[in-house]
Amino acid sequence: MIEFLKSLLPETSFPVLLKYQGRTSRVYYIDNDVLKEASTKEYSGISVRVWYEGVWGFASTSNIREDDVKKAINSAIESAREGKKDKPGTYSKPRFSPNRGSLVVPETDPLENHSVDEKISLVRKAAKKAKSVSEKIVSSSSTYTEIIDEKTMVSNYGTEITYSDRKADFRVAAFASDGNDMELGYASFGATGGWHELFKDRSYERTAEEAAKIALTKLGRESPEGGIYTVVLHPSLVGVLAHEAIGHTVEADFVLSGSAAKGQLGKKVGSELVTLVDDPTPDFWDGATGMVLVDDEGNKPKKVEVIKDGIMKSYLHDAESAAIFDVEPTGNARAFNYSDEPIIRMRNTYIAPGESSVDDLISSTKNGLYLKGLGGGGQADANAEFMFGVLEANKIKNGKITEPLREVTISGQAFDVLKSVDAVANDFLFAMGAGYCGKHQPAKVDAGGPHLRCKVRIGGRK
Amino acid sequence: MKEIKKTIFDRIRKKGNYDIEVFSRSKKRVRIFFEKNELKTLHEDEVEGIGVRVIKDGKLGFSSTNVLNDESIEKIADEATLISDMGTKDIGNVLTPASSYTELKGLYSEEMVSYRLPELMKLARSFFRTAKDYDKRISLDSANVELTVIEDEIGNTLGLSAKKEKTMLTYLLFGMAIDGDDISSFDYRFGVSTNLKNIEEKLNSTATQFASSVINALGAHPCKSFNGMVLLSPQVVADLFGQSLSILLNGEHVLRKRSPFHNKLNEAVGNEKLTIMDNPLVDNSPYSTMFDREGTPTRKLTLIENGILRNFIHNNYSAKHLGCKSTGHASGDFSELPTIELHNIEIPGQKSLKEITKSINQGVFINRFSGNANPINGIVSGTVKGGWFIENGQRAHPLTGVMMGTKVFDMFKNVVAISNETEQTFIGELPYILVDNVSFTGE
Repeated sequence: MIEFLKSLLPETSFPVLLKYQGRTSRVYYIDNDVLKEASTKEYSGISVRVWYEGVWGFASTSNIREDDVKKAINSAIESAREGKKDKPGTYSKPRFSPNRGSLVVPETDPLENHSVDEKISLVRKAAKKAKSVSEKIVSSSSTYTEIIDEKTMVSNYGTEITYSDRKADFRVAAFASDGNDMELGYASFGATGGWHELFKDRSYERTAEEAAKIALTKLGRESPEGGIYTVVLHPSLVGVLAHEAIGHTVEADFVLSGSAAKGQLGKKVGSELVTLVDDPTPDFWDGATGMVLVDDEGNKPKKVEVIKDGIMKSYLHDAESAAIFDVEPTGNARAFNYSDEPIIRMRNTYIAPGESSVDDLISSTKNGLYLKGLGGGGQADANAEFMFGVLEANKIKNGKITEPLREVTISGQAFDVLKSVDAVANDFLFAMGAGYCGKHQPAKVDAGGPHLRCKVRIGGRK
Repeated sequence: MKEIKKTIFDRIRKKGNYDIEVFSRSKKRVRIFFEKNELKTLHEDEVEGIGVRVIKDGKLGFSSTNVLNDESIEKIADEATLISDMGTKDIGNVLTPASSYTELKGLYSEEMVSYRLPELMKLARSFFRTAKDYDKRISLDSANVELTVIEDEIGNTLGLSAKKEKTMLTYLLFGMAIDGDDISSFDYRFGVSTNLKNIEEKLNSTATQFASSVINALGAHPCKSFNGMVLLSPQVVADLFGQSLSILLNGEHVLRKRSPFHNKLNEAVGNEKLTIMDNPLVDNSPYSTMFDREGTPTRKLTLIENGILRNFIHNNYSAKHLGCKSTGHASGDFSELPTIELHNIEIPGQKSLKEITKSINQGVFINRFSGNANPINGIVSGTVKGGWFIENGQRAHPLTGVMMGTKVFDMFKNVVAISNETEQTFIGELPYILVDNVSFTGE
């Protein structure tokens, strides 16, 4: 493929990138002991991206034939030139840091080594296990998904690369009912790599039991009263805070549009206990789901310290925003399918661990809430006001976790919440690997951190 | 497509007496994308793909590809057959027999098909400039004008064969207003049309609505916490009513008893002012379709009539299990197994928006809802975006930092008024709806 793309690369004075992406995805889904989906999907093609004096042209084709690719190249160039008529004046030329070579994500015990039978059996056992936890579990389901990507990129600015990527996730859902009330619980995880990276310290049994337990615990519980609360966030919600509430505001495209992070470089935006990082390859964690070895502009990805000890240090960049801000690209340009344009996305985003023990952090909290897991969706606004649903919530009374609550939604202004952080624990977990971030197109990301304590607004029905 | 279908049928039928369905979609797209307040990308692409369902003795296999060469086509035929052989027997796995369809007018525009980049660029430029020039405080995170031509074709071994075409121009603005340190909430407006009639007017009107909305959201502050009325914008009606109904009425959720409405057919689930229909057979409507993802003919269906639950929505699977006929609500792309979704919700109104607003002594207008509506336990909780505090029938001030809490089921029952005016949403042209007894957490 690399020779084929090189032979078609046009000789132009402006940047052109050709990318092939061959994707095979497989889904196995059991719903109440019925195999609802066992499928194999192929979605492959070539995209052409051209930058011409401040305007991008993009075209793609699923026909991997010379004539069709040449047609796409012409279409992308003509589009960019057409757009230039509408955008006269100065521009910042994209600043690339091209990668070369052959990249393969670390994969222990490849996904392909495990048969269709084994994967179907896995989801069947997981759904059955969830249902067996209690008679009140009226329904259960389980899904295994794998995405196998083979990319080849060549550009006239130095990119020449092949990249093999493997991402998989596993999830279980359980519905509980006591006749009057109904609740949903779920548990999931994901990874980049092989079977070992996905299941290294996790089993289908524990995941199924966890989903069932969450649904059962919430049955018949009350929502809290609305108001401002001291909360201890589990790493799963710290990840959501890092990604959803802060991370999106520091994506340079949002910054240029006027997000709340604009003009904040070098300024104090959080407690000095807070260090926030977006890392393409965290070396302390095997198989983080948002692992990126080369971005979709062909750039080398870099670890970015977004906030260091409460001070904002950097935004997340693609080649164009890097030029506008006069910095090096951070390798955050990502595209989900071959037919998607690369845009600025996060990878593995986390708040770095602190020094308190988790036990000390909880026992020193007189009254408040202990919140765990993303329930429903999470959203953040241009002004950094965020909202997300919480999957599990308990009261904290006199330093002890007590009775459960349900349907808690938290909100706040992200930087105000960061400033309210008064304790950060020394544990760590990535916990968002099963899901997708949505920004015009999906992206596999991960996020996490340690337990931490802060203040947020809780929405209530009283 | 005819040849591909024959190749797949012949190849699989050599292996045994399988029922086979081939669904194909061809999509051509031209898109102009603005980002960071300026033109960013011009994008053209074309995708063709097929999905193959294979059923034998109630056992289902599925495979799909967008690479339409002999090798890929033979591969997915073999994989779908193999997966079917490994599947479990389920009486719900059935295909649609040969059917006849209601012809719909105005879903395909030759004029739109002939559009090229320069024409589309002209529309996009005007759309973008109308929003930007409205006020210098407008900041556009993104704007998008996209022309799509879609051709769907379905055939199966029961003799069904059908084809449909649609053209669509969609336009979307996403951004905020910035006045010094005052940044409004994000807002978006979008529209979609199957033809080019009055298209510039439609785009400019959408751009002006967006601009006016974000400018009016500046200077926001919280209101006190209270329990009272909420006036939902059509987008919020789509989010809270539309999305919840998509799950509550979904035949598969009814079958699995996951829908709290599963045993409520012909019972009151809402206020008598509330009637909701799904109508996919409207000429010139972008929401219309003559058949669903399984080739089943669509039809107008009353979902809730004066507050009484009248119908659930089904594909072949849920209909077969529940002993009824598919309502033509199978949905999905070529790469997906059919799921169940609503097409085009209609909610008739009774009053003008002006009358409704005047009747509010104390309440909140919510333009966008950032939160969750859980259709399983019914709980709605989230943040009011681009909202206004309303006092004595007048807009008092824009809102920020206010959370809203209620239950979906209570909202259906506490409907006070529905407007005659409607706006386009992702699930139909919907009205404004006034609902009582909603809790707000503010100052």
